Amino acid sequence: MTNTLRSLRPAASRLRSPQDLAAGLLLAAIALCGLWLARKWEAGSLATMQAGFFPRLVCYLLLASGLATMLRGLTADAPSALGWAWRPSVAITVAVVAFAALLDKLGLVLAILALIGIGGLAGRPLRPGPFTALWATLASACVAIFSWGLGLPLQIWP
Amino acid sequence: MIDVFANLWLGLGVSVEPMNLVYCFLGVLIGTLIGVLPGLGPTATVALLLPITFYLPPVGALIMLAGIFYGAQYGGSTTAILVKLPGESSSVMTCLDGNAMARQGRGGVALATAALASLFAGVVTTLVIAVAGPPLAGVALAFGPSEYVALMLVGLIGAVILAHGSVVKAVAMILIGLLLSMVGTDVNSGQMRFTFDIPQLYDGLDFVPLAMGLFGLADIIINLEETEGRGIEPSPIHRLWPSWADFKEAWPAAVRGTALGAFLGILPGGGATLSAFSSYALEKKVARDPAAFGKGAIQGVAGPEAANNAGAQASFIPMLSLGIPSNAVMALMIGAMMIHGITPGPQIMTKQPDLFWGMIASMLVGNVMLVVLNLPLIGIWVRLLRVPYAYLFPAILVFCCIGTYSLRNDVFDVVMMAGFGLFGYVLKKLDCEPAPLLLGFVLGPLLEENLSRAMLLSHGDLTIFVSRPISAGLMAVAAGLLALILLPAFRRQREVAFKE
Repeated sequence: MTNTLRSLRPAASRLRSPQDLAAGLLLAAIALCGLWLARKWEAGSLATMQAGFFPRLVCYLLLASGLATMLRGLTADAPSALGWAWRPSVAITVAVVAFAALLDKLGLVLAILALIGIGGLAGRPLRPGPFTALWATLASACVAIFSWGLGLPLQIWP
Repeated sequence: MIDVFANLWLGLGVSVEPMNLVYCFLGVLIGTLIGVLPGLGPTATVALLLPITFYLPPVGALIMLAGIFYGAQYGGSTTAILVKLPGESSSVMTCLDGNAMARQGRGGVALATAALASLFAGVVTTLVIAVAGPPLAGVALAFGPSEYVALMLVGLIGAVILAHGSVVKAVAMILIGLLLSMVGTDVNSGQMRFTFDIPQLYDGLDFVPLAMGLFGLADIIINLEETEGRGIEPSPIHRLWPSWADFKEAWPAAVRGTALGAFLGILPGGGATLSAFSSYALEKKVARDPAAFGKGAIQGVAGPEAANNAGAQASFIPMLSLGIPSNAVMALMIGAMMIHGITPGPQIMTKQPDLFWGMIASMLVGNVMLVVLNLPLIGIWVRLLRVPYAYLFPAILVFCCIGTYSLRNDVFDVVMMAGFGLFGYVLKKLDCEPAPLLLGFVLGPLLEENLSRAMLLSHGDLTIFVSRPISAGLMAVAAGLLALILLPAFRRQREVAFKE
């Protein structure tokens, strides 16, 4: 939302849009991957559609919209801001994957520690005291709600 | 007419059963509590709390989910007003003037206006559902594959309208959603599609990790990026109740918003967002002083709030009577019904009247509960928002992860969610919206199945879509919507609405 609101700033100069170009490239790449993966599936005909018909139809349309977006990126003016926030994006992703990797082996309490410990690096990390309090609160709330309350087969301790 | 009231009476009987009242209250309460958290809109809230309702009886589960839905919707408006953070696309419009009001210390007025406009819209639309639900179900019985294809086209084209920004990108997002919906085993041929030999993908992708990743996780990353890691800070509140002058300005906007929402919400794909947007544009058009919009015009809160609540409730009509999810939340509701062994569709009204009417009547009860609960608690919501983001976002992370894990007790879903979170961030960077993607994902299997069935029946003759009356009518609506998108005047107006 905020992005769009920001993107409506009047363009100061006629800038071509690397954002649209990148979006178009991504869409076209997804479409080509889809077509390649679907290459062996039977397509059938319009009257007797097989498993490959709909994927191909969608991929061709996607390819077309990808090319159209690329074309717009080369010709029309649009915001050029394409910054990438490495710290939050990497920290959040790694934290969630770490949670998934640890949950079955070390249990919920330690998996939450890893999740909020690594995830916290995405913003401004908490000091040890508040961090421990947050960990204790979240871990006990989760155990109470999901394990006791809902009876999910969650491993709590290692 | 008598029938309608007899049915509503039956439904009221069901919804005021003590346990159902408790489920409704809990749903509204928990929905508001979670929906008010930044980053968790109605879709994420319903997705997060869906597993809890697996353990309830069917009627109770649906009443609670509906309560969670409008609780979260209202909670999201609270966040939109106080911190200018829309929980879902439908509250973008509330953000603009609601937050401007909050910055002027009129946050309480904006919150109360939103609550009262939502209550009005909710009650009126519930009556509309009670009247229009049964006839629509009659129409649904005449629906063959070609009609379903046409209806879904209307919905998907509607999704293009509701997305702001580039039309081509919105179409592309729908297509990616369709592509993602094909992951898994093809029902007709048994062919594995896009499964990469991973057993967990044989049954297809789940909606919850997709929605939680695209909305929940991606939003956290974006919030942290935009505030450089500090998170969002709320503004102070001075005055709670609207003055008489505020009220006089707000009520006509709420009435117009309700009418728009009730009408557009019935259309699949349009729903709350489109009605909120059109209501804002309409209010700006009829206002004596359009320049006040964006600087704290109370009509800019009352209109869209009434419209998005009316639209949200009206979206139950196609879901309950046709079995068609008009938005992501309705898709989750259908999922919940199927888990309880209920197939949504025309037969639900005749086979399970207590469930159908109980749920509708519980909307009346729930809307009243929502206001009773929220007006006195506005001060507490504000304090909840004062939880620093450094504490809040780890908590959101934990709830997203456990919520997704609990679906199948499989960490694979959690990893998928992480991937979709990153993908959601990429989409945001490229100014692509995830909402049409989710709609495509939800409608994909239905579209493919009905398209192939319609073509099989007509021996590949495409004119079947225009030779049958209902299908032809829907195709005309689709063409009309398409013309609306391509009409330059409409697009200009849309940009103006977003700019101010």
